[in-house]
Amino acid sequence: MKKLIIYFLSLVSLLSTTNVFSNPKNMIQVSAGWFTMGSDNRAADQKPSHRVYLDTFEIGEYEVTNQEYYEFWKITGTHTPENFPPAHGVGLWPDRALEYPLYPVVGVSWYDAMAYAQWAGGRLPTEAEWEKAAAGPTGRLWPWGNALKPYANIWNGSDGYDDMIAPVGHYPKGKSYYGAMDMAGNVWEWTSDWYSDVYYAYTANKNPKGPKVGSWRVIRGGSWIDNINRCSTTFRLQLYPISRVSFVGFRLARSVDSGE
Amino acid sequence: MLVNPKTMVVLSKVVRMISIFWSNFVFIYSFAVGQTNADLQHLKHVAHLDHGIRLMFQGSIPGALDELERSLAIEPDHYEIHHYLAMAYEEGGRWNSVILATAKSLELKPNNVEALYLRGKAFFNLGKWEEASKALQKAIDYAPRHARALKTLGKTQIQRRQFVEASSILSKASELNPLSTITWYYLGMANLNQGNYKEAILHFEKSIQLAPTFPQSHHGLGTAYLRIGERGKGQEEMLQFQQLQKDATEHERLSRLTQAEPENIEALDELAKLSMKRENYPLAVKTFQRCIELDPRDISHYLGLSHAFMSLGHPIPSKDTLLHAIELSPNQSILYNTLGSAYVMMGDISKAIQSFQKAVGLDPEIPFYHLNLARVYEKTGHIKKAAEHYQAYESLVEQP
Repeated sequence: MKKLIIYFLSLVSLLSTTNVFSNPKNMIQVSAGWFTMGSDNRAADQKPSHRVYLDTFEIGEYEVTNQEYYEFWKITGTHTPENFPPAHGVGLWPDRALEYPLYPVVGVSWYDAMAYAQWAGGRLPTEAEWEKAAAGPTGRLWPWGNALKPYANIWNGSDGYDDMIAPVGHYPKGKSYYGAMDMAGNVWEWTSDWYSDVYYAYTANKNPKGPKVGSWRVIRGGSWIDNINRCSTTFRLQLYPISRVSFVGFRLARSVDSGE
Repeated sequence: MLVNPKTMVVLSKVVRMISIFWSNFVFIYSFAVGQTNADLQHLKHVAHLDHGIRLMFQGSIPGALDELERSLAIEPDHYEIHHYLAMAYEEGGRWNSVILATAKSLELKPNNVEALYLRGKAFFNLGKWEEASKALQKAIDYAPRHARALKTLGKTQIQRRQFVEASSILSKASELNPLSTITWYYLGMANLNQGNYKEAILHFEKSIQLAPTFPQSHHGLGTAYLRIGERGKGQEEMLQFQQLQKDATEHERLSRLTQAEPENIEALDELAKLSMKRENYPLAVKTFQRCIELDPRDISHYLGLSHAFMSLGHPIPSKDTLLHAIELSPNQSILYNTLGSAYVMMGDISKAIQSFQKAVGLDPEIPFYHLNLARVYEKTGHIKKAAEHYQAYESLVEQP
C-alpha cells in the first residue's frame, strides 16, 4: 500500500512539472531561411555580420505574462519570481501577478525561464532565433523598421510608461516583420545561448545554438531602462543566469519540425 | 495494449482531480510560507541589487557601486554580485577594488572564468605582470577559447619580455577574434621585438585595416619599415602617427569638456565632427543627436547626423533626418544633395535623381551636384543627360 502511495505521488509530481495539458499560446511561425545576423558598424561583440540559416520555428507573440507564469508557479510551487518593493508593474509575488496579469513576468532567473518553458511545452529561443524574429529577413534596425519611432517602451520615451514596465502588446506599431510584439524595449529577454563576445567570428551558420560553455547567458531587446540604441535588433547584453532582476523576462520558442 | 475508452476517460478525470488537488495544496502551502518568512532585509537587498544592475546597464557607475555595495552589506555571499561590483569598479578604473571584489567572488566560486579574467586584467593595469599572468592562465585553463583572456595574457607576456610565448598566445587570440585591432597590434609588437619585421608589418597592416585611426599601429608599422631600411614608408607612417595622436588628444579634451559642460554646444559640435574624422560613427551619431536636442534649428547638425548614419550603413534614418531638416529649411541645396546620396544607398534611383535635380536647381554653380546627377543618369541609361552634367561638372571645376 505504501509503495502504491509513493508511486501515485510520484506520478502526480511528474504531471505537475510537465504540463501535459498545455500548449504555448500565441505562437508565430518564422519560416526557414537565411538572414544576416550581427552588424559590422556597431559594438565589437556584434561583429562580424554573418549569414545564418534557421529551420522553421515558432516564437511567442508576446513575452510570458504574470498571468501565464502564475499558472505554472501555482501548480509546481517552485521557481518563485523575486519580490521587489511595490512599484508599477512589479512588487511582491504573487500579488503582482493578480494586480498586473498582462504585464511581462520579471524577476525570474534563466533557470526559472527554462523550467517554465519546459512546463509550457516550449523552450527559450536561441540568440539567432531571437534576432531573426526581431529583425526579419531584411535586417531591420528595430523591429518596426529602420527609422527612429516611438514604438517601444524605452528610457525617456514620454509615452505614458516612463520609468515603468508596460503591459505586453501595448505598442502594436512596434511589432516585428513576423508580428512579434515588444521585441524592443519594455523588458530584456533571456535567450538559451551562453554569451561570448567573439562567438560571431566562429559560429556555425546553420541553426547556431551558442558557445558550448560560458559564465553569462545572453539577454536581448533592451528594456524601459535603456536608450533606443540598446533596444536595436542586434544589441547583445549578458547577465548571470542566476540573476533575478526587475527588467528581465522572456518569451517562448518552439521548434516546428521536431514537433516539440 | 488496448484500453477501453471509458476506462481512459475515468482515468484521465481521476488524474486531473488529483492534479488540481495537488496544485492547490502546493499553492496554499507556498503562499503561507511566503507570508510567514517575509524578510524585509532580503527585500532591501533585492532592491539595492536590482537598482545597482540597472544603473550599471545605464552607465551610472558611482550610483551602481553604491547600490551594489549596499546589497552586499545585507547578503554578502553572492558570487555574482561581487563580480557585478568588480565590473562596476572596472568601469571606473578602480583596479585595486576590482582585485578585492574578484577575490571575494572567486572565494565563493573558484571557477568563475569571467572573474578570473577581470582579476588578470586588473593586475595587468596595475603593472603586476606575474599575478596577471597567473589569473589569466587559470581563466584560459577553464575556457581555452576565451579570446579576451588570451589577448590580455599575450600583452602581459610582452611586458614580461616573453615574446615567443606572446606570439603564440596572440596568434590563438587572433584566430578566435580576427576583428580585434589590439590583438593584431600586439602580435605585431611581439614580432617586432623578435626582429621578425616582415611578419610584424603584416600584423600592423592588418590592425590598420581594421582601425585606420588607431595611432599606435602606424607607429609600429613605421618602426618596422625603418628597421628594414624603407625610410620613405617609415617616415610616412610616423607622420600619420603624429597627426592621429594630435586628434586623439583633442578628442580626449573635448570629451572631458562636454562631460563637464553637457550643454556646451560648440564643444559638442567639434566633438561630433572630430568623431566623424576618427571614424567613430556611433559616437558621432550620439553627439549630433545631442546637438539637435540643444539647438533643433541648426541645419548643420542634421546634416552631420545624416552623414554619420550613412557611414554606419543606415540610409533610412539618414533620409528621415534629412527630410526633417528640409522641413525646417526647404532651400538648402546641400540637404537635397545628401538626400540624393541616401536614396542611392537605399536603391531608390528615381528619388535620388529628383533630389540631385533639386540640388542642382537651387545651386547650379556647385560642381559635385552635377557629378552626382551625371552618375545616377549614367546608371539608369540616360547617357545624353549624363554627358550634359559631366560637362557642366568639368567646366565648373576648370574655372579659376
